[in-house]
Amino acid sequence: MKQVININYHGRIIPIEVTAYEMLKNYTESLQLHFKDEEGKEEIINDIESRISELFQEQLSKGSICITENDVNAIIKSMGKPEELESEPIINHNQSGNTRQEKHSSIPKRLYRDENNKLIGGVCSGLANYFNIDIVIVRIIFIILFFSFGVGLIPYIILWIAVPSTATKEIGSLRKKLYRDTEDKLIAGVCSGLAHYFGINVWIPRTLFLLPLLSLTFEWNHFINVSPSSIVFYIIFWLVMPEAKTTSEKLEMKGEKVDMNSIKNTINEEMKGVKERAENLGAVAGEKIKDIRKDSSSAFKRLINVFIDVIVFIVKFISYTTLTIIGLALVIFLLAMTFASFVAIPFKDYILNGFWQNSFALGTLLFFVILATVGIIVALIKKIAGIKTKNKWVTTTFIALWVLGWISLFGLASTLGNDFSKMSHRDNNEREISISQPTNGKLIVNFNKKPYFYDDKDKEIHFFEALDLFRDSIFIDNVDIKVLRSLDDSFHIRMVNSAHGRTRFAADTTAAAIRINTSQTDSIFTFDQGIFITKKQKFRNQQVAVLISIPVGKSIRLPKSNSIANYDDNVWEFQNWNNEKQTNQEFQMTNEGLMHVEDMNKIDRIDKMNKLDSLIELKKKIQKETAEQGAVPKSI
Amino acid sequence: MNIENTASQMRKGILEFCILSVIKQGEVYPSDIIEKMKSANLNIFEGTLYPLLTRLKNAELLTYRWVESNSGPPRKYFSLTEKGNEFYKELESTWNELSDAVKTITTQNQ
Repeated sequence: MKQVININYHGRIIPIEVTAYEMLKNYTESLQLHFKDEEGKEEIINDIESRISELFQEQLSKGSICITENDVNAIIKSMGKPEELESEPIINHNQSGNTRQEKHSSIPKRLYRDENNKLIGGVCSGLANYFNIDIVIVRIIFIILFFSFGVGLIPYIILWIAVPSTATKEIGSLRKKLYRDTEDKLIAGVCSGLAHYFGINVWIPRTLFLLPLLSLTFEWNHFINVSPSSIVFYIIFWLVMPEAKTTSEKLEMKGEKVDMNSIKNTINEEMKGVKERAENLGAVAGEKIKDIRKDSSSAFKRLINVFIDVIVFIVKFISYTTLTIIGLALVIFLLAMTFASFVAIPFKDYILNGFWQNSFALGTLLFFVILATVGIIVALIKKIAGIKTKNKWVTTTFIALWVLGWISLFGLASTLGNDFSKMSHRDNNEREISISQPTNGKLIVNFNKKPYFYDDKDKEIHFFEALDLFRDSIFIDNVDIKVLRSLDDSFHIRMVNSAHGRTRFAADTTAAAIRINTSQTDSIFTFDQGIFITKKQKFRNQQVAVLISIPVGKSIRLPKSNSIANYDDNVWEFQNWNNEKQTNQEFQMTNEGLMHVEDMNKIDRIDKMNKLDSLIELKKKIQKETAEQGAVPKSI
Repeated sequence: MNIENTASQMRKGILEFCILSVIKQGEVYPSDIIEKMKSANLNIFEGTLYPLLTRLKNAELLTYRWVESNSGPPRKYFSLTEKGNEFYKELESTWNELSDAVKTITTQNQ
């Protein structure tokens, strides 16, 4: 059911469908545009419209009840669309020699997007036409703006949306246009307009705009971190989208079905088009740049040349450098991994447990590390020597094995991580060691000597300072000293074992198995500085903390290799640096904290000096006053 | 070179001449002109014709008068002026020269 209106068209009453009327109006408007600069344009258009009215009459007298869209279409076809009209006069009439070919220049300059000349949205084309500069220059400007922090992107998008395209100048094009629907508005009809355009329910865009705002109000997880921007977008849409006032505009708003499929198709075609145009443009741009360079007559163009050269150079330089750095880093990393893996081989049995872990480790070593290193080295050699082997199978096998390597790596990491995930309880593994209080108030702490074996049977490899590899076990220095202030006036020593494991129970078991030998002679207390771990026991980050509580006023001497590593919450943690031999290992516990005895002596001395100084001052003062006052001594 | 452009240029060159010819044969109104041109296999849009007629009229080569019609508003009937007649004669001789020349050249090619 279509709405029909009556029009008084050049002396005849014509019943015509509303949509057909709109087409007619569009056609007339386009003719107006076409004949803008024509002498006697009113007469021409008048004649044409008269003729159309005549044709309408004929149609009606043939028996039609009203003029339909089809009728109008046919008439437009026979009258000719503006771009089909041959309008250039050969004879010299009172006509400005403006060629009608360039529609853009004869019409008073309005900014359009040129969809016939577009790469993405025709924005640069339109601007180039409007300002009469070469399109390549405009595109370059946009690209530069884009790369300076994306400044160019937003204006481009705004222009794309706001500037009409030349396609809308075609008559009869009932393109769906984006209008605001002020009849169905909550605030400004933005969401309604959007809904009409996309053919979706109006509450969908409304929800999309409101959702981020809700998250702001209720402080939900701010994963939709766009709450203020949704307001900004709404305002932008409000400003940019025109209101659909006239019927034709309202029709255009609701117009042809633009559903997801058609949008998808349009986007697909546009994207394909963009790719093709980009490729074409690449070729064209190359030539254009050559052209621009050739014509270096103007200083401006020379400047552009230099500019282009500089930019091209910078881009190339940056990309090559980045790629090289990444490549080098990758190679170094892989080489380091290979080396580390080989170094770690003797230790593998102390860490890895079971068939799967071992297999994963082997897989990682072979396929991930070694393969990649070999692959990269081979590729480099090929590149340098210029060898090209197009053997697909080799590449495929390489990649397949490397994927296997990745899988092994993940397997290894996860199973191994599991083994270290839980830590043992503290309570079960803490014990107090009974000691006798040193008579002179100073406790001397020493490490037992580390085990050395000179027997050939038990070969030893001294790896790091804290790790010694024996034939069937390893010795790790895992004992740390922590000093606290004692709550009474006696020394106390406690030991806390800790370990990790797949379960807390496993961790506890491992921790309980730690054996540290201790002994005390007079005021010297010694203990092992580490433990042996056998292949059966596995390394599971076993640690021992020796907690020494010192009463205030008493002192301690610690082993030469220990120095303060950390102080936290009244606990002084010491680290056993096997290399650094400290000289000053006498400490005294005071109310203010643990202090070096030497420092304390220094402070004492300084204190005494200060006191002495003030006494001297005082004495001088008295003598002066006595001298001034005569013989009367002031009472001090 | 665009074939459409060249062909269109050729057409434009002779359109005025053809229109003047038709009008010379007698007083006509625009749709008549279209019909006659169509029957001679020279198609032209009304949108092209009307502006041409207006230009020719503004150049005082044509004149028109309004004729009442029984169905609807009056219509314009065009006829050649004196100036138009002379102009036409000149165009005719130019055309004859040209068409002879072209004929000679194209037959020489074969």
